[in-house]
Amino acid sequence: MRLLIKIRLKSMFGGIKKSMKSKKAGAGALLILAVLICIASVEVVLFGACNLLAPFLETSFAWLYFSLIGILAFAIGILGTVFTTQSQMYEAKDNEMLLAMPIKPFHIIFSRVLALYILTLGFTACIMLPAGLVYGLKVGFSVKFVVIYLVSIFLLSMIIQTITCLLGWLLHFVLAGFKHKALVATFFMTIVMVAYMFGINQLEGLLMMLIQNGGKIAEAIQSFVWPFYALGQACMGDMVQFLLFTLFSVGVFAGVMFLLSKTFTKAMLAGGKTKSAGKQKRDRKIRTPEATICRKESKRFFTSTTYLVNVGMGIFMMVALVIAGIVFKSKITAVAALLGDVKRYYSFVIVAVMGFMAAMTTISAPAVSLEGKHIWILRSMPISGAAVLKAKLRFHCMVAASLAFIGGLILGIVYECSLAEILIAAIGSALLHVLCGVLGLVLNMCFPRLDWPTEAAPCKQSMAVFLAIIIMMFLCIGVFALSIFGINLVGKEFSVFVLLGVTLIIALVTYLLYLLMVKWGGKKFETL
Amino acid sequence: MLHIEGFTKRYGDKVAVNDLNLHIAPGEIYGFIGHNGAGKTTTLKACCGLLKPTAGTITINGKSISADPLGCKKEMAYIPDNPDLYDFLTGYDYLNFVADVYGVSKEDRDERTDRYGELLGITDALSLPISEYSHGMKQKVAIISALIHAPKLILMDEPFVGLDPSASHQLKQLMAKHCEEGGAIFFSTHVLEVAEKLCHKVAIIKGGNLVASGTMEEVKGDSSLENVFLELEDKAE
Repeated sequence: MRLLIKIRLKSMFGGIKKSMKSKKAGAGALLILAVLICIASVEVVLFGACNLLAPFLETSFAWLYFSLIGILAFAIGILGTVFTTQSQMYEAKDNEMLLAMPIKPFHIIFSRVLALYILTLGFTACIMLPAGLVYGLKVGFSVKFVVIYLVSIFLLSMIIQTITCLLGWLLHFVLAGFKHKALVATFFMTIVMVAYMFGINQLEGLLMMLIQNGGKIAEAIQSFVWPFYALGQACMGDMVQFLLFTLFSVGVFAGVMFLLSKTFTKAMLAGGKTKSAGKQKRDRKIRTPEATICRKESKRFFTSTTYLVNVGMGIFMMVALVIAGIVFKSKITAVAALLGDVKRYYSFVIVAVMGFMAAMTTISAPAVSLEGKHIWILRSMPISGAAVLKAKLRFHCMVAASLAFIGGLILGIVYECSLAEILIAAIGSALLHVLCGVLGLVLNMCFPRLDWPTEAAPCKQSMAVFLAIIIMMFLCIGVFALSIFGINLVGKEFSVFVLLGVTLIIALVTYLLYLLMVKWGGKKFETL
Repeated sequence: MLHIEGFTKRYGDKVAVNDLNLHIAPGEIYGFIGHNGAGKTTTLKACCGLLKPTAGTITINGKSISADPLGCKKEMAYIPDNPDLYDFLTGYDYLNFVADVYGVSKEDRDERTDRYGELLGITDALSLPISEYSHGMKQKVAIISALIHAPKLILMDEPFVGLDPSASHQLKQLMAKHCEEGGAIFFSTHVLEVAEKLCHKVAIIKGGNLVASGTMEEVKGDSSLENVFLELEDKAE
């Protein structure tokens, strides 16, 4: 059991440790970046907690503050880890090997869940710690509060992990019955993402509603979601509720662990019984080497739930964004009109927003790592590393850049931009996706790990994906800031030239990065 | 066809293969024998450009694998010991993919896919995703993919592992035919009986060092290959 846990933790954190050892400067920068993101998330929670706490302290519902924070942590934790849990538990490559060994299924499951628990604990702590800090600063810290609160974080994480495991288990059995798992899972994830974004959008109103209806909500929590009532009361110092909360957390966790271990073998067989895609027609088309690799990438992308959901959500979000832009045009223009004459900024917003979607479409970033044990196929063929990378980029552009171009065109037309603005905005949007594709491949060649234990790992945990997302986000902000600066410099009437200038800068950066990818990246691929 | 001159491969301080010299001529089936970890796979991987030699040169039809890897790879095919193929493709998709990369014409790829598919008894399964294949079925697809572009040189690492007796027999026939037509095969195996019957020449490697090589008669004489192999293993220790 100890060895299994050690292996799981090593596979989770081994990559980070390895890169910290080999590239100290890069890893240091990454660490700073991660800390900055954590600080930013913590600040958001602090802001919300401050607004939420004051009104509750004035009433007798102070415990409700902790219950609501607990519910928030629960919702975020569940959303963030269901698919990870499902893939880590049931799609791990070593499942069959471990099951064939004299190891109890409980030990296999427990070692996996423990590793996932650490991630969940991180999520929960990001929400709960700032909220506890806000409470402590306003009301005062006591040893009893600190101890109970910290233990509650561990217990709440346990409940979150329990429910996530249960959902992951259900998801595994549900998906096993579908032919096109990837598309079903992505459809589900898109709905979850849209609901999540809608929730974030409504956060302010939600907070007001919570404050105004504190009494009713407290009653509802006490009746329907008792564990959060117990959590709230425990944090307020009620030792009986704390003990009950502890018993509940440990009890449900143990129960679910028992259920999962008893059904693990069956669940693995259910995965194997997945409906066959059936006999397919023989493909008789002749392609160039690059086109055939591009097609192979397409097949991998559209048949892998993990790949599609984790780095391809942006393509679905782009479609949703364009539809929302058309449907809510009058509302959006009305809100924009409040800011003054901003019509000339529309094309810039289109580029920035479509470009921002690039950060959610990092298809190319794990593309080399995903070759994994198959790397021998491309490496033993008469095709250069540069050609392989170009083919991978081609697929990225076919999916993301073409969609961004069409999206940019549609939004430009809908928001009545001039012809020049429409065209440049569409090209600019597409170029940001091309840039994201090239950047992803360059980053993957900087961190070309091929020995990931699951397909999910390079998509979720790799440095290349993480950096591609962060860099693209900052880049879009930079592009927008540069555009505003340019307009202020030359005047609104020349905004189209600013747009052109910014697009040319994106094109230049993309081209320089492309040269790096082809020359350095191609050579490096040949040594993998 | 394949010239290995002074090939050495080191992993840190460990010498995997030391100063190996082998020549494989057209029309030859060259067996490569040794215990696990002797350096067979390292040598085969270096021959097809997957590993860079620490020292020495490997040339295929006069072209160096280090200087002109693409030129060399066009003339050969490699089948690894554990053929991890793209699980998300069907057998046909995979063969088409390989044929596309090697620029095989439509007529040739169709004819070879059908011929080798029938011979190895896998035609019916070629429309299914590779994820549904057994090890042996993957091995058969890997063999067809190696033959689809009619390479001059075929490098095989344990090609008989996982094959059913019928496919194993067919593979031996295919190997013999390939060499009759002027091609060459360099393959590693643990099945000494197969090597003895099939190979024109054989090399025995122990701890990265070549301990014997030459024609089958030169190496085994009147004894069996198994006896010679075991004797040489003992001597080297």
